[in-house]
Amino acid sequence: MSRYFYYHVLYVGLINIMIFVPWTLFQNRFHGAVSAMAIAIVIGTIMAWTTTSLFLRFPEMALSDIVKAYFPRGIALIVNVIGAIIWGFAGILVVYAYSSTIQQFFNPDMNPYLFLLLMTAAGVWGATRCSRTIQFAHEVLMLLCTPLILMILFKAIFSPWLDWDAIRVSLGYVRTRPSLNSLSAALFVFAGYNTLVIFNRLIPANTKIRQRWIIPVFCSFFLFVSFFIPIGFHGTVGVADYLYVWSITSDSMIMQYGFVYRVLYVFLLLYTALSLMFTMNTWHTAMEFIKACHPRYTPQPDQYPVKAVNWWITISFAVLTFAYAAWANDQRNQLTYQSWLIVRSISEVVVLLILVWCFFVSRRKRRSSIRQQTAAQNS
Amino acid sequence: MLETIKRQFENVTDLLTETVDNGFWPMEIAYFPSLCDERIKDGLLVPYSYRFDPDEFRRMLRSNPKYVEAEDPKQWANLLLKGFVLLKVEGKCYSFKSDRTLVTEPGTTEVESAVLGPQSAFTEDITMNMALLRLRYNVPTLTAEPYDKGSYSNTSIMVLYDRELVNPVILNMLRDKLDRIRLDLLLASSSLVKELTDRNHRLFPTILQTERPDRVAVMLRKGKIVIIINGSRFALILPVRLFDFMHAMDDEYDSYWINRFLNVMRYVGIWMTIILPASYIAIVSYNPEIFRVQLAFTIDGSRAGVPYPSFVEVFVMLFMIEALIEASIRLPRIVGSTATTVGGLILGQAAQQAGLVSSIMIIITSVVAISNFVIPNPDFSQAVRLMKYPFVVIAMLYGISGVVVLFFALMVYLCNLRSFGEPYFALFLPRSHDLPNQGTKLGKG
Amino acid sequence: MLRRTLSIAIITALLFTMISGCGFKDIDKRFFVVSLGIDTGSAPGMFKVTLRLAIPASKIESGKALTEVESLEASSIAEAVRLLKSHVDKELDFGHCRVILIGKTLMEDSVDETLTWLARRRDISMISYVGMAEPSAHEVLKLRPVSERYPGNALLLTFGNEGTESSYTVTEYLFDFVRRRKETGKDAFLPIVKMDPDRNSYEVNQVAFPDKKKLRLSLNSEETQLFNISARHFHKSAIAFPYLGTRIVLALTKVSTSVDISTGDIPVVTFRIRAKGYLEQSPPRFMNGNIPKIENHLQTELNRQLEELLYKIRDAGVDPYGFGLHYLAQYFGNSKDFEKWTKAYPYVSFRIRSRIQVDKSGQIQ
Repeated sequence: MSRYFYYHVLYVGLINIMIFVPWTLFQNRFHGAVSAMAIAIVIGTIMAWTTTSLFLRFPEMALSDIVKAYFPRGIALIVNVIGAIIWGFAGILVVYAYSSTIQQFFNPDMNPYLFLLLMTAAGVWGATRCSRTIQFAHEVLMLLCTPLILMILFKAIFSPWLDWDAIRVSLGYVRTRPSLNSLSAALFVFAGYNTLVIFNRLIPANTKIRQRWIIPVFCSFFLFVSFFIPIGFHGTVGVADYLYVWSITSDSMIMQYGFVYRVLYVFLLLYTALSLMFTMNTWHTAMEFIKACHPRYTPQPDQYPVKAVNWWITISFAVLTFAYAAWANDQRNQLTYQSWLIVRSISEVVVLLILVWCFFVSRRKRRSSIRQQTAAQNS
Repeated sequence: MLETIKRQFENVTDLLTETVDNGFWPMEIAYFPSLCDERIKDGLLVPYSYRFDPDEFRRMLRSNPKYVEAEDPKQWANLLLKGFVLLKVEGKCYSFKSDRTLVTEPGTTEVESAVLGPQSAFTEDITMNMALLRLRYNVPTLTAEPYDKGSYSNTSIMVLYDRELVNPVILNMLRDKLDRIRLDLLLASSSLVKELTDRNHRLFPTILQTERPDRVAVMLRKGKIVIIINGSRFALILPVRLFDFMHAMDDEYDSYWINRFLNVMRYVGIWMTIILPASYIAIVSYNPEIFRVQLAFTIDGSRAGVPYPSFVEVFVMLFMIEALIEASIRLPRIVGSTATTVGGLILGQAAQQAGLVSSIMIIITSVVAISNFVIPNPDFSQAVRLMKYPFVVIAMLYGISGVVVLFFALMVYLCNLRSFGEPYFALFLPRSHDLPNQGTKLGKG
Repeated sequence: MLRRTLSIAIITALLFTMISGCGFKDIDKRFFVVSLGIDTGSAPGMFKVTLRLAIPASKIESGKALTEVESLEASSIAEAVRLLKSHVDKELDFGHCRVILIGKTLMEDSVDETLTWLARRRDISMISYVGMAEPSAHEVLKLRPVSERYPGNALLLTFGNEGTESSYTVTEYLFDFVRRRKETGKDAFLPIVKMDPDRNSYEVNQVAFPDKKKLRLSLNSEETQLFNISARHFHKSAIAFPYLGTRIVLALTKVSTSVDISTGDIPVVTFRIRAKGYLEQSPPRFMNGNIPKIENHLQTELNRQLEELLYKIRDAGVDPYGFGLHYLAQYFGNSKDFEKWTKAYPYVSFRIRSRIQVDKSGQIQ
């Protein structure tokens, strides 16, 4: 069952491109991006490790179920609402970023809202499904994407045009002081384990998530790739000029004998799938958080057909996406992405603290109940 | 007895009701000659008439398993319609099983032919089918539950499963559903499929229909449930996954690598038949830069004379090929090949030369048509045949990115499907101990 | 039921009307730009844009490819392209534009504006080939090569290594050109595209070196090949060395280089090159088949040629090898170190260490 967990880890690691993580890092490439990345690897690994272990102590329970069990109702409600906002926003940001990318590179003449409509419709359709369906879809889509991911990565890493000198030069800036912006951006790459806040429901008791070295190894690899490959292709100076830097980077590669000549199109198709997966997952998580606000809510990870309320909640996310698209311009957009990344990093710590607290409370309860039992037996 | 029967079957002239007398005992007898076979002579009429011995006759009524006491008048009509003979001697009613078996030989495979596998297929007779099946799946644990469905057709069906392998949750779900079915006429297995699946399931089949007894045997071994229906050449298998529809019985008999190769080819075929017409539109009308420059110029050159936009071209050709497929199913065998030649070769060639469609489009159409038939299961093949149209429409509106998004939606749809509570498109089935609370949460199918 | 059918019909109708507004354009209504040329205009500040447009044909034959060349002058490239649209009957599509030529006069002037425009246009692929056209992009694009099978593919095949693989042809992609224009300590290079004297094909056997602003140096074809081997590791080449009045030709099979730069006020660049190859042409009983002696001779020759080339490039004030960037990379330098390097670069000395390995002396002794 743990393989489902790793699908989340992997595609969240890959989606960082759509949430402007590389862009944020490039803006700070001479002012602490590399050192932030180094710190993020350590912090991210530790956080992932502890949070995952703690979640496994509460089998088949989502964060909202845990909070409901150990905290008063008011606090549980706040946690749910904040969770829904953070997760819902993640989907909105990715859908927006991706549809503007697509609009730039695929259909420059098309009305941007038209494409946003398509993306949100697909996102809504995916998010309304039950948790188990979403897990299956993740598996299928990840398997379909893997050859493309590998192809682009190998193409990039072994390209003779990749300038290792430029990469080395930027690596030299590891001596600068990290900034909060770049730290939170780099931490995002490790955020895949956070999907356990809902998908822990599908992990039954006594499951062990083995091979946890995958998290640091793969996520650091993705982080390095998404930062250093564009530098290798566009130089230490030129890289900051591009907003959609990875699209341009993939456009700098060709498949000499491929069916599709420009790697850009392969990249865009791959990220259509990844962005939709991410949107489906985040909106679903946000929806489950909102549903958990209802006092008589019982979680149903495998439900068919789904309830109408799923549709209403996710459609409201889609509407919010349109509102965001209408409000956003390049400047506001950057600001939103950066603040979202920071807020998300903080929320990660908060989730960890909540889990630690719940863990101790549950242990004390269990101890006292055992003591009572032994006392009852003794008497 | 006869009075009661006559009252129920008023004006039914093909029912034989008579009171016969051999000088010792009078006997009331009623049966449908058309439903009964010659066994009635040896089994009943000979012992009753010139070989008559009252003691022997009584002994026969008691000991021959074909004779059953039928005292309940409500059962009579049903028994008569099933091909039983009703008789009343010495004030007691008996039924005598003498139903005519129309089929005595196994059928030959027509829909799912295999090269190396067995060539025998199910017949339209349920007893013959049971025999064919018992031949291949021969264990005491094979259980058969009889049902009668269809308030007018009164078709007998059998639910078969290996009681040690079957998932009891799914079995109970099936029993519930069967009990709830209200159907006038149950004439073909497909109508039972329709009743058993939910409304949302109609796009892709979630119950497998097969005419091959060997496939049924393989499935029974996997713990699936099989339904066979009297009067239908097809057995139903449930629950199934998408991959079962892509599985030809030859896969069981071919060597490993051939099998892998053919499997990959089938999935590529599906993918082509769904994607190709849509990507033609997307490439021609939105993003000609995706493919190599040579391809763009070739398409451009061959489309130079075509007066309509690409999607009209695609619709014209798709209509032609669909009509051709439909015609060759309906047409008599002898004319069929002529129609294919005329439609496929001459019309395609002429349409291209007349400049109505581009030559690339002709190639695409034929690839689409051929790769659709690579799918081994006809039910699934039909579903896939339909799937290309949504893709064509989305390609008209959004180009290639729309196609990818719709492909994503299709994947989610397939993952969303459940066949009797079992995931339809899960790649690796979760082992049973991995499923949380199995049995309680699978309540809805 | 009726309401449902009606609503479906309305939605379908809406969808069909949407098509008209969103980039739906059939391939036969598009004019593919296969190469793009940019020159200086007749007046200062003007640009002359030349487009080579493909006219597709259903039959494909050598020399039958039809192209149309359109050119126009305007005060900016974007305007010129926009105006050109009014000169053609179909929508211009840059999606298959794989060759971009920049006129020599424009290179000598400034290409900043051109590059900004090229980078902004999303439909121009970053893997287009870039070249400097001599005498002007317009002249070169007007040429119709006899061997052309697809419109514009002769130039494409000349540049890329799908078709001919000549060691004299330097390949430069747009993204690399843009990167080198901005990068600290690394300068751009561009192949020079000329017309063949008999005017039926192109000649690409020279390279031009601009610095961050304008053209500084162009090399002859021999030097170009040496640059291609030493900087781009182009190994399908043959180097000729004079020897007692005849010439020995070494066909290369493998080239690798490494650069080491010392610190100090005036850095010393140690350029190591290892080449493997076989003698394609040599006098009979050449040096008695003594391989080490032959190798030694070739090495000194190569050292001499390379040293000459590197000093020539250094004296022109350009750095296409990226020694500056390598210097920074080697010592993890920052902007202060780079300032030091730019001051020192005109005085750096080169030390060439070549190592040639002769595999077999051809088929005969």
